[in-house]
Amino acid sequence: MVYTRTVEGKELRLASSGKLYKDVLLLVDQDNGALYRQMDGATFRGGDSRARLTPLPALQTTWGEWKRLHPDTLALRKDSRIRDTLYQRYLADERLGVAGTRNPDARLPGKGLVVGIEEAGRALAVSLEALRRSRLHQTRFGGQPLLVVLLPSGDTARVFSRRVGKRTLSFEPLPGEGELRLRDRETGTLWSASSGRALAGPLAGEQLLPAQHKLSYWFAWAAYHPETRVEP
Amino acid sequence: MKDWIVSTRTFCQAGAAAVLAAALTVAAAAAEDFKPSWERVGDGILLSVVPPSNIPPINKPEFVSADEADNFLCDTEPVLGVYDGQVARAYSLWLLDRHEVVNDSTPGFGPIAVTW
Repeated sequence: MVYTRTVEGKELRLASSGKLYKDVLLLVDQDNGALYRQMDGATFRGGDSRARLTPLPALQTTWGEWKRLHPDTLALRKDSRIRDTLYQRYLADERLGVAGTRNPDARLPGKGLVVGIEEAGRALAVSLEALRRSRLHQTRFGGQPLLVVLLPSGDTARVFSRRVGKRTLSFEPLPGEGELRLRDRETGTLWSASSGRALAGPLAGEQLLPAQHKLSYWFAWAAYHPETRVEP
Repeated sequence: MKDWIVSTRTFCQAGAAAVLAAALTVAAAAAEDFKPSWERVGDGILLSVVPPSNIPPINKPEFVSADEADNFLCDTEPVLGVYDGQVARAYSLWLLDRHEVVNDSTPGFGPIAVTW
């Protein structure tokens, strides 16, 4: 998750606190020890809500897929001896959290991945497993018409607003192999699902606006958002 | 794609287990005089897992082109990608496993924290 690290005009230097709350990391301000929740950027013990970190759009995906979306991307330099995750076993098994947590909400499996969307204190989770079958999901949340699309890797998704100018679009997937193409019912424009770009038709050249979202394990999302909606 | 990239890519499959075991040994040694603890806070549990000094953030991130990064990133490697409207940057999650936070700045967003 990516946040602005300017809070009330002051630039913070953040670090891992080594602490987890509801199994999700707390970040620490290295200058004054204040704790922030990695899940949503709020200060750990509430208090001044202006003092929160503001979330920014980011995409969890693979290097191959990110390069396809942004061929001119830069990458953070990495020691090439680092060749794997530290958490291979945790990623593969059914265990929830480092100390063993119970799934707080049986609507989805604890270790199932969800595309989590937050809007004015409300939350929506779209199951990645369901999205792997449907490839796209259209909904309305917080007054915003949204399009959730599975990326070609099948391991992650993007979220776009379905509003273009004054129009709200609804999309149909086109049959075919490879990259998912969509057609909107309102204008017949052809769209690339993974980039959100209009390829041909009346709206050619338009770009759907990306919406904030994060990929999360269901058990952690549900612990932070007990009232969350689940779709489909 | 250049041929030499294919040949250097063998690192994407080999040697993972050994590196992982070594990293865990280091983490265990550094945490010897630290006692994990927990307390109930609100409707959740606060766990202190490791001392904060165990997981140093990256404060001076250095970036390279995608071509150069292909020497040390696998196409299947998970990344966090950020696009601020002007520049796109990728942060390897295998690297972030070891640091959890990158204090960075981008032209479009200003100071940001990339966290994992």
